[in-house]
Amino acid sequence: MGAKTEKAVRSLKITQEIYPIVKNFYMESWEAKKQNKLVCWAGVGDPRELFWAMDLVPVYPENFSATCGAKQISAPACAFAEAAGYSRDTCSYFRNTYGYMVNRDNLPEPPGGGMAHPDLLILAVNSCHTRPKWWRIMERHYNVPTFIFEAPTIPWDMRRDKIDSHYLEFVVTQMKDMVAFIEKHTGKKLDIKKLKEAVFWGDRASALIDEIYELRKAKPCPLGAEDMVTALFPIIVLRGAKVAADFYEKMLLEVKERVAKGEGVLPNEKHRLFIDNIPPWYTKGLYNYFHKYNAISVAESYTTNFCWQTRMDPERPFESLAMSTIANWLNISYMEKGETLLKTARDYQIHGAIFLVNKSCKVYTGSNTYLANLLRRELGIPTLVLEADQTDPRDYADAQVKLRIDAFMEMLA
Amino acid sequence: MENHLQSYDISCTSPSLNPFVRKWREQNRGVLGYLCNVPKEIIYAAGLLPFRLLGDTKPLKEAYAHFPSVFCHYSRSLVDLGIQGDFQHLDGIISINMCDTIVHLANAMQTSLDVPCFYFINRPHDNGVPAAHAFFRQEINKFKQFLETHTGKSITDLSLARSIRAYNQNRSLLKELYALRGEGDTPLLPGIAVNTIAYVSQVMPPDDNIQLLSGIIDDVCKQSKPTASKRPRIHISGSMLQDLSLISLVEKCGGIVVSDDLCSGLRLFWEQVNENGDPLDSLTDYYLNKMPCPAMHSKGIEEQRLADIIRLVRHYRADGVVFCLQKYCDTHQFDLPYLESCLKKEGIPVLNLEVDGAINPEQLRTRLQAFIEILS
Repeated sequence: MGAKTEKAVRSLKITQEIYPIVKNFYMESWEAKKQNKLVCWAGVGDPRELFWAMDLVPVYPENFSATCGAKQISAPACAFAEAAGYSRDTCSYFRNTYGYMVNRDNLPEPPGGGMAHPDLLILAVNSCHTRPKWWRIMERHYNVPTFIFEAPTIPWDMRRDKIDSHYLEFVVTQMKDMVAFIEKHTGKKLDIKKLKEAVFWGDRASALIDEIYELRKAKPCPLGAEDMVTALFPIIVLRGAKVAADFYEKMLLEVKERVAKGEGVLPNEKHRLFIDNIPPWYTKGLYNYFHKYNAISVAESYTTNFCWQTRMDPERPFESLAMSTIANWLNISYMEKGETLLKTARDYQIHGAIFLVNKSCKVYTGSNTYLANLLRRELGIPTLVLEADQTDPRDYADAQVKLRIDAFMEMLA
Repeated sequence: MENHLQSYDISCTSPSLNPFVRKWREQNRGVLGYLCNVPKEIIYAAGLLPFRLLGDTKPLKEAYAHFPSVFCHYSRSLVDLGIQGDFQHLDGIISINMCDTIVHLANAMQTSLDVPCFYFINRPHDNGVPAAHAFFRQEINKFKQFLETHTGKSITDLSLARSIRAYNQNRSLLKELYALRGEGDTPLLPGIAVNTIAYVSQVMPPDDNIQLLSGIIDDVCKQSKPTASKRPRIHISGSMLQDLSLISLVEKCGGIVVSDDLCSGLRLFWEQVNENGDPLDSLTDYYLNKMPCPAMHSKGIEEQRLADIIRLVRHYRADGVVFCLQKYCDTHQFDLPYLESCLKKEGIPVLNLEVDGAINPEQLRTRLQAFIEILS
């Protein structure tokens, strides 16, 4: 039993270097205790520069669950959460983590030895309201100090670069409370120099990945989703650490070289696609499936538009981090998503858009219909809807998905 | 009483069919649809009729073309009704940040429906955060200013105080009605009647509703007391219970519904807004700290919800709890295993039902009958 899934086939050399980075990341989290550092389980949209500056060792349950999906081991953990009473319609990142939290001994060995036991739980609520409920469940289980703060959703009368001041003030105030919380538990005061340095490296990594995204506008596209989604690991998990900037420096060189030589993923690139939603981590090979039609995903909302990267000013670390925390793809209105997507579609010369229906992430999937309608109406771009959960493979119907892609691509041709 | 009860026909939940909406429009007074925990007192103080959008349980016709199906029926039914023109008499729709679905519903309506204006209030979900009160107070102030611009008139403290008083009176009257149903040995009026009245009260002008509720309570108190019932007493827990025939079904299966903690039921009226001090401060306080729904994520909120349910179960002497959760309601689904196991440890039997718009009585009947038999 088990859904048919496929590994991604990658074009870039740099992507191979992700694996040692991931392995090292998990190894270091297990070493934290020996170095007298506290492990904090955090959300992937949190102001991670603060963690580096305050000597915390962050581990990310969402990323852990994505990795379990990629390693094909998330299904039994998810099933265990359902057996414990959680609906199958709830987030599979949560269900996977829950399974490993309470039943690790009866589940496959997790990647990197799994997440080191948390000393603290921290979360910025800046996308969905199910993550804080998940964090409260973990708080009750681990009984460790927990800090949750909110970055309010940006309504349709504002934009990311035009947010009411009381929103940002609210976020900054809570972040400073978070600093006090961390200081209390580590016994160490925040060193503002270290924070500025972390913000410097976070900004550097952000600037570099922005350049990489720009290069994907080239024809033929030097870098498809199959490489890009894996290459996101440093900006998500290690932003603020020098290693992330170093990685993207190297990646930028390789991508620049490919563009200079006119080397695309597809020598006969014909159709440029946009793909929406969280990658189905257990079958990243789905991105490669489009290649047989000389089609390639050149931009994704999960990479190009998400804002894992944010330009920041090291001299204004709290304000910068507040902006970075509040202004991601899942915290903006449909109107702003639509404006952003139309620009992406024009800039990247998109021929077709794929929207994934991912029941685990309603805040992602919710805007599907609006965005698909908008692309069709404003730019005449045809759209395709496919069902694929982010990390639970059990309902993924590979054959059906591919049939639908075949029909769509025939129509595009 | 029959006359008064007739005013609570479910059809009133459609803005196109509600007689008060028609009356207000004939008098050139505005009507604003709203979702969830929008501070309706401010809308009423502005001289507008606040109309909670409750949707319906009919099969969806057009929502699919505007809104994906990963959301609860309640939210999708509103998109459906909106597309079909049911909101033609609304001057605007006011939304608020509660659960993710409500936020997405607000966005879907704002981008798909032809309603003159849309407004969104941001509301913190953690009342233990020191800065949350100040932030929410600013949002409420901003909302008041929006209404003043919309109507061209100032909203005075006096009009706010009157509005809060009117809604507080509604709350006490509904609480009295719940007491008449659930505090004695036998409900003095059927469960379905009480839940319908609470439900439809959300689309009535509060001053008119005070008259109607008072009339019903008077009539009920005049009736002779029935003999004590030995039927198992049921507490219903959930969010929006749109299909109230579930209450009748529980009663047909041999139980009596004595209480609930539905957001379309008891959670509407359990507390009063403080009528002393600054009205906007009082509203900020009320809407942040009222009996919580699971969209809140303050520390200890699940424990508080559990305590609230147990307190209500003891207060109304319920024998068991029936959870009625909307399919795709992540917010409630996340709390369920904890609540279920703790209630059972307290010796309170639990039945867990999932509803998706209209209930399927055949599917639910067997389970309800079995549960009620256990309680007998």
